[in-house]
Amino acid sequence: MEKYKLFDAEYKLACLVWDNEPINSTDLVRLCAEQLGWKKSTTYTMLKKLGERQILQNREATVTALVKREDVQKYESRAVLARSFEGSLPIFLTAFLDDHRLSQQEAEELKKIIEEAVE
Amino acid sequence: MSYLPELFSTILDMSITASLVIIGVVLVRMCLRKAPKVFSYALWTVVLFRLLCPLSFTSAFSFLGLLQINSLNNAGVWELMPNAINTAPASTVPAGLDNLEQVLNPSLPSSAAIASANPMPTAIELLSIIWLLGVVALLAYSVVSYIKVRKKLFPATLLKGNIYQSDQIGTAFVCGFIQPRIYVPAGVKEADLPYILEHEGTHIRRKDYLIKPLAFLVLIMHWFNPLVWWSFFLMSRDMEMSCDESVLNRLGNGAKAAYSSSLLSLSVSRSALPAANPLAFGESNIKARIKNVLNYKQPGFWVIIIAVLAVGLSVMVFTANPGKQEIDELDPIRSLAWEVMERDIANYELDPEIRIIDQKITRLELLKVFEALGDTPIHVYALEYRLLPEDLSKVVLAGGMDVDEDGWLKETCSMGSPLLVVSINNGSMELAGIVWTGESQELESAVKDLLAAKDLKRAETEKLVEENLSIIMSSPKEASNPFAYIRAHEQEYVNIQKYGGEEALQYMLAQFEKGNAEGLRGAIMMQLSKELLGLRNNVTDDTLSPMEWYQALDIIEDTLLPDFQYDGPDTIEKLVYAAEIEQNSGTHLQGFTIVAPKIFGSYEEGKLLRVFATTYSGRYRLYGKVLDQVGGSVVPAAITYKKDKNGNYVLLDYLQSQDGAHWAPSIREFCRMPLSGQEIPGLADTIIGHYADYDDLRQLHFDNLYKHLAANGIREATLTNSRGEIQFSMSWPDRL
Repeated sequence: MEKYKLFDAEYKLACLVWDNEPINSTDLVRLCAEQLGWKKSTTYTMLKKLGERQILQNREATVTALVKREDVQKYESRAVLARSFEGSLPIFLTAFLDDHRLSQQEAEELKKIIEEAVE
Repeated sequence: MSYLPELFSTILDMSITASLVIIGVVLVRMCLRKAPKVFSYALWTVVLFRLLCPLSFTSAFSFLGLLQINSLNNAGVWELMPNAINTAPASTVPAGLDNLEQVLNPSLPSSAAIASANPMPTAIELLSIIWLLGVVALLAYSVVSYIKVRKKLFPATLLKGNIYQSDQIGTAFVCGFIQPRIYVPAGVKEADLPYILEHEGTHIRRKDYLIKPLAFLVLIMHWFNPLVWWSFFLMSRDMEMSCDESVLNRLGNGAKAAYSSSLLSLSVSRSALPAANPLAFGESNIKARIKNVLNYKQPGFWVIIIAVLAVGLSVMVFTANPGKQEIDELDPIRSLAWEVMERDIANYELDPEIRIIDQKITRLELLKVFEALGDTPIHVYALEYRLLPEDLSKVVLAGGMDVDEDGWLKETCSMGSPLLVVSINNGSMELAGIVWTGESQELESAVKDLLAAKDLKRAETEKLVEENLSIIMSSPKEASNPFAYIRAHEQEYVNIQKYGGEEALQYMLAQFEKGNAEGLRGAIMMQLSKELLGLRNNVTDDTLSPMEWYQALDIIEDTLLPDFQYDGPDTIEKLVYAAEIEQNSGTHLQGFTIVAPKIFGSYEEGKLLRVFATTYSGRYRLYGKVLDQVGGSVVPAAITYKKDKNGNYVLLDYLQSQDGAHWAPSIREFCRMPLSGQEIPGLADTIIGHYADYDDLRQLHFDNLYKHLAANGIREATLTNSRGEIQFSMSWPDRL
């Protein structure tokens, strides 16, 4: 069975629910504010998103999880989103303002320089 | 000219000035390579200032002053490309140079041809639109990418304090303007976190998160200038490096390795970062930064002192505009040229509707040196300049006058352009006069004539004053009172006043200056000077000795005012006012003219119109708050106009009553119809009868005087007659 994949923030919200379910949605909002620094609207937006994906449910102001913790996996890669963000920048601007990403070789080189300097 | 091209011109000027400063800053920055980067970072404030602020203070110690481009206009705005895009400043040799003729007193011809502003779109207007489109596009792009970043950050989760975590980002940065937050990538290693937080915290403390967006906005404003992009890039780098150094200062040198490892690992792990968006705060140039961190040493005392001095000095030198004073001292010819221009401006501004808001010299060049023409070497300079009127449509262009494509007035008039004839005396320059390119005389002989005329005038004045003075002083020997001498030789005294006039006054004041004004000679000259000065004499203490009086003398300049202008609706009155002003006014140096006509009738016959009026005219000068009447008359006249094909009346003929015994007959003579010449019954008697009591005219005259002064912003002015009775005052209650 394929696992549900969650982003970091989604995963953290789900964890709060697993730890405390069933939990009153007002309490969850308070909990999210304390632990995740979220505004009320942020929490409800996220609840709605995960509700649509059948991971959490919010019924009569009580939030419960629909999937088990073992069935959920965090996204390791953010490459998809990152690329889409980068795609919005004109090439010349990225090239001009941003240094090119380090190649493996360059990274190794720098590592050596750091080590040498410390010795 | 609309607002946009003007704005663009200003931006362009700033951009060019800033480019020079950028190059300077880059040079200084190279010298500061070994110093802490905070000094390089601080240097960029000058560039920021130059890119943002068109105004600056002037100083003799200015970097820009090193460049021999003297284009400081009168508003303190340093203008390198006057009005942005201008055609090349004139040809090198003015036309008709071989054919010159001197004209001693340059004054503006007063004939009238109305100029119309040319509304053709110019290159500058087109460029300014392109510029605006670029600005809008870049602004839109920044806002969109800022929103995108904020979206990626939703929802980030709280780590602690103002630090948030997100798996949507590849590197740490600060985001937000009012309550900036630090965002770190979700997967960041525990070991790296303290260093990252220290770095980003430093950015927040130093308000870098506000400085960078500001710098970016300025970059957008100057998007067309590659040097500005370059300096933005260098500035970002200096900002990051000085931030790194500040972290090391706090954590100690031992943290170097760990800190640079953190920089490295963060940069390797990230895939994309919002660094390209300056509204968020990312890293830049990892390799250079790591090297900088590893090589960083806490600066020694002397390094700091020297760097502080270097930066302080650079800031001062790069911020200042070159001082006008400095230019003038270095270049006295330029100050003479400014003087000539100021005179021309004063001429224009006599018309209350005209204001010259800018001026520039487009050419000032030594044309010829005459070593042996006079007692001193003579240099002739060609001068060309432009004046920018606030509203070109208000300027009446006389024959030969011209306007360039940007609405600047050219100096040329029907006489061509001015050549300054300058005599060099012990290294100091004195303007001997002006000759014009447009006249048909050879330059050398024109200059010769000018000098000869000047010498002759001076010699004549000297002779007149000295000869008459010696006669006055010759008797009565026994008297001690200078007035006894004056009374004994009233004719000679009047000669100096009447024939010497202003020149005699200048000569006598020069004698005071030389100290050649002792005793009786001084006393008589003082009396003469006082009378010639009239209301310009500021010294009221009559007990002073001649030399004391001269020391205290500070000649009150008169306020130059234009002639009266009729602004009522009546066509006939308008015509008569215009004709009377033309008839009665002199040059502005002879004061301003107020007229008050009483119209007895106007008769039209065919295309001719004849108006009969008696006019009370007066010419005044204003010294401070005191009015001086320098001339005036009450004269009946018949003014004839011809209707041209556009239906406008053009002055054809002006007939005045004659003096003395001919007075009444001359009036009867001109009281006729304009075309047929038929006598108009009863008109002459009415005019002659009215002349016996023209109190109504006096009233109208002073009403007009009041209106005119008020319209020119004069609130206080008093006119006193020879008996010391007040004839007119701006503060008379019945006028309020």
